[in-house]
Amino acid sequence: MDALLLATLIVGGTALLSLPLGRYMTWAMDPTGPAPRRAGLERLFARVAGPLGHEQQGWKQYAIAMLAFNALMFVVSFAFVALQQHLPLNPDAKGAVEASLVFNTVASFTSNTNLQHYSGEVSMSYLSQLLSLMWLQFVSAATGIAALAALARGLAGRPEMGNFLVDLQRATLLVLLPLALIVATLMALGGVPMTLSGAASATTLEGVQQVIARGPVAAFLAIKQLGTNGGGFFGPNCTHPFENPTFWTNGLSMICILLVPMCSVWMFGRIVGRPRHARLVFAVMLVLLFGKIAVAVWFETAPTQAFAALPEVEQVAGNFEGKEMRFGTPYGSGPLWSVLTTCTSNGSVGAMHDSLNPMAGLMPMVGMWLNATFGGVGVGMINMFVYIVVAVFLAGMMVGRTPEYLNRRVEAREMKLAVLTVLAHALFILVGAAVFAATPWGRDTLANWGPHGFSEILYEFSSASANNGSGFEGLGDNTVPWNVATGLVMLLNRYVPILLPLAIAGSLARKRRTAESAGTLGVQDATFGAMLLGTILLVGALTFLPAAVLGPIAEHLLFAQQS
Amino acid sequence: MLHLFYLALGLATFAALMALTNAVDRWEQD
Repeated sequence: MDALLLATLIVGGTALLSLPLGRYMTWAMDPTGPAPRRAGLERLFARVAGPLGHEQQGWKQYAIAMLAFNALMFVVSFAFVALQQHLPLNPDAKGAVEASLVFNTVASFTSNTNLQHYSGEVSMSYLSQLLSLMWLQFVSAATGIAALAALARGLAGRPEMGNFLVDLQRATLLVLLPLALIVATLMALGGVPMTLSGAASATTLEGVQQVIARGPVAAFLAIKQLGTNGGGFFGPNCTHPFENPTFWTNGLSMICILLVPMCSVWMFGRIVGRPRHARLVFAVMLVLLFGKIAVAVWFETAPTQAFAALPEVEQVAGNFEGKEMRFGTPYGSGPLWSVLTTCTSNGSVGAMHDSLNPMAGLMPMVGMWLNATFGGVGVGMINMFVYIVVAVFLAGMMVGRTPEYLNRRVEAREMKLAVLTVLAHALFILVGAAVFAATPWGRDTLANWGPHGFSEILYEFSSASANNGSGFEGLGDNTVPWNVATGLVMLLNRYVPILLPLAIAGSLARKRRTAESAGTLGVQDATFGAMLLGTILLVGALTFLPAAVLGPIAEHLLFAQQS
Repeated sequence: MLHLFYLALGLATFAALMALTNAVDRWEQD
């Protein structure tokens, strides 16, 4: 009961907060009207963007500008991390980082994934953390918001989708930076360290000298949560007491995880001029989110099977393994956080996912497989748009009418691009997991055998492909094969699900507007909501159920047989 | 040296994504 009350308060409160912020985000990303102050700001953004800042871009130019900017960020950040031992802001004299780990880390932060095969407090200098990783946390999140704004403009029927470099500045300076400043201040007040001093040294009661890592954690934490980045300043992420000290910082983090992805839905609805459609999409996302929370909490109230053979361990209150008790309730940092962080492609960790009961552990995987129940900032709504295209097409076929979305006909070309987007995600996860499960690349890195071991491999590729970044753990993943494979998956499946939907929007924008008639499929009523929900579940189940059966479901059935 | 190889790998991935963008655009124009 506590868990569901907490979930309702966090999710409901954030949904309410997202209403005015979604309105503000629309104003920030898609200014309309000749407000004089805003016009000055826009001129400044265009000037900063240089000669390219004044042109209006079609989908292809927008996509190329996005890729070129992200490639440049990849190179600059790569140089900072690779050369950190020679650069300033390194008070603890952090050494060189191994080459494949640099590739994985920079690919991870460029792609808004923040999968970490390293521990920040062990490997990264403050310069690497701030100028490379935190900088990428801002611009990668801004890339997602910019891409959604461009997509929405295309769907609104505008032949030009905006200017990427201008949109990037709007998202960074008007949306993410002000929010991050507020949240970082609140986190610092809540006890999160914010200092450029090196590690503290203390003498324990036993007289042992202890080195306590610290740093500019509050700044890092704020954008990591708001930008659905999720990468921890410390290795244990938000289970570390300096990254999440209290019940209140825990609650604030969960709000921040959900906030901007929720605002993205409202922004989309306003730009396409269909706020009622956005309300329906929001409701479908909420249903899926609460469904996953309920299942995860339900299965987590059962004792962990890991202690089943130990009669002296009482587990009347459910599975406490891998939970942080300072957050007041084991469910707040356990199943609730794990579902929120994986539904939103955030990936910060508030409990040990490896310790969740098998069916509770399945829910984070479902979140990453669907990747559209709010999803990443901007990109979650883009993923949902792909499901909408599939749903519209299926609904049109079922009733024998030409499928239409927002007064534009959805034809075979758009459908092919949508299916390719869905299949790319599945392909990266399933092929990657199959190859690593069948070879020493994956097998030699496992901490567990059997279905749980398979879950560890499956989770890692799911996390990489969904640009989530959380770890199931129990996997020795800092090896060359893991670093290269997940690095490539993160980069490819960051941009493919942005490029192809932008192409769909560009294609739809060029089509003649069709008049609404009695036969037009309404995309803002409950029938379409049910159709969309069914499509998401059907596509997800058809694609990933066999893999789920081999991992968490098999493990659950094995435990049920034993007990 | 190995660092340069991984840097090139990342840039090759971005180049492949740009090629994909061009290919989709050409396919749409057909």
